[in-house]
Amino acid sequence: MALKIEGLSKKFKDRPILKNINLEVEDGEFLCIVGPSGCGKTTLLRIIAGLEKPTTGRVLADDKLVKGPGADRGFVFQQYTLFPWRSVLENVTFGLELKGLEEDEREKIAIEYLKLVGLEDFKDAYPYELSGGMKQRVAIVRALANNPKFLLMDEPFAALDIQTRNLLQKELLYIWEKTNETIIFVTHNVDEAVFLADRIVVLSARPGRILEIFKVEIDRIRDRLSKEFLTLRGEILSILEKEVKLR
Amino acid sequence: MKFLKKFLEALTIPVILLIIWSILTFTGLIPSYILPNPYEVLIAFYNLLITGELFIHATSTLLRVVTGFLIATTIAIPLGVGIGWSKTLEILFNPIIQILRPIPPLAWVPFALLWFGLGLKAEAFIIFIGSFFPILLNSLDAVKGVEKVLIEAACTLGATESQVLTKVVLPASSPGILLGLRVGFGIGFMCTVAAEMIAAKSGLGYLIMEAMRLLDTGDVVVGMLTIGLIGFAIDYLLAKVEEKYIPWRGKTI
Repeated sequence: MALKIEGLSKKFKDRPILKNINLEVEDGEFLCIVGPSGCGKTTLLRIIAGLEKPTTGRVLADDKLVKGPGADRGFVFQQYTLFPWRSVLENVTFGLELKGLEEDEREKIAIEYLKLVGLEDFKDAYPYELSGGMKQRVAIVRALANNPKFLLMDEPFAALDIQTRNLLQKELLYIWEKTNETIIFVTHNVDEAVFLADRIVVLSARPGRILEIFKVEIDRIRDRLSKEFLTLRGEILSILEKEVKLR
Repeated sequence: MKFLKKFLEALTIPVILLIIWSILTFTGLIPSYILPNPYEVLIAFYNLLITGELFIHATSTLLRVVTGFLIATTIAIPLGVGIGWSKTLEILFNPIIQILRPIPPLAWVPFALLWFGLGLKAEAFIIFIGSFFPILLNSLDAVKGVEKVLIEAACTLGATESQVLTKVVLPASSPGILLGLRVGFGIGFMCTVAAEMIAAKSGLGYLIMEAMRLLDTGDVVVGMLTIGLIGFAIDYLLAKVEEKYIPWRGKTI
């Protein structure tokens, strides 16, 4: 197993956020986590990233206990997090620079990845000159350039308009196939999860616990209007609806 | 063409003021020992220029400002960044900063004279005090204001704490630090002139005080305008530096 979450719970002060999460993620898997807002799905992802500590339980990434953030687990945030004082290229080379790679080497790698999202012509642009979709593409590529074992994504497309979002979802699948990343993708958008995931983890309302795990066995690129797509989507939505009503 | 238009617009208010000034003084409405007329100021300017006096006073003021300002910068930026970054340093230094900060730089004049005697050192010390706090506090604030998520992004890319500091916190807070330099320089410059009026044998402040003693209002105005122009020029320079090196300032991330 590439990633193992064992008996994980999280409390903020006395408020329980996550309750007894046990989960295993396979190598190269595309896993989506959905849940009602405030259910702790972002917190779960942040714990995997090492940005927050669990109250109990633990996370093993490649059999190593997660103690803090690390380059093996790339993260794409919902907010725009490009470094505004760095050009697109310099943003993408950031992680490689930290590792001490030579400039030629890191630029070669960065350009390679920028080509993957069609942004090689923007390498000298600054973040403030980019659209939201472009910024998130660069953020994804910045994480990928580090060649992480895992790519953790926290609602990365939530702030984008629907056309851009759909486009980026397709691009992400393309990237995933090319790089064989293990992706853990948090979203509140069920449609997005069904479109992307190998498996979908559905969390309950707070405190979040795993309600159900769906295996999505629809061929990609998935047709959002196909019967199987809509059936699965409807099933997950009805679970979530009950969760919200229960509160 | 656009530039010319902007230039003319920028000149409007100064020209209007010059006209009002001329009307008030040339008509004798205000006598010249209260306010000299523009012609008298021009003559005074010419005389101070050819005798080289203006140059000497201006350079001696500038030398003091730059000395005090540079010393303040080299101490205040690292200290401000350190306090902004480390909770321990903040707890250690915060009380003393809060107590020293409200003391006007000129209140230090007696000690400046006792410790350093009349001269560059005493002047530079006063300027140091004046520039120090704006630079310190702006650096501190800038570091504290760095977006948490940028730091987290760097950590997930594998940055160590010292890499976060040098590669994220410092560049992210550079606009605030530079602002501190601009404010600090302005205050330092004001302090110089004020201090020169009390304790110096040269400088633009000294020039003004001497001229006042001799009721030479023309020289007073020349001294004041020189101060204004030098201050303006230096701030303009710093603004240009900011434009060149921090083009992303004020833009959304």
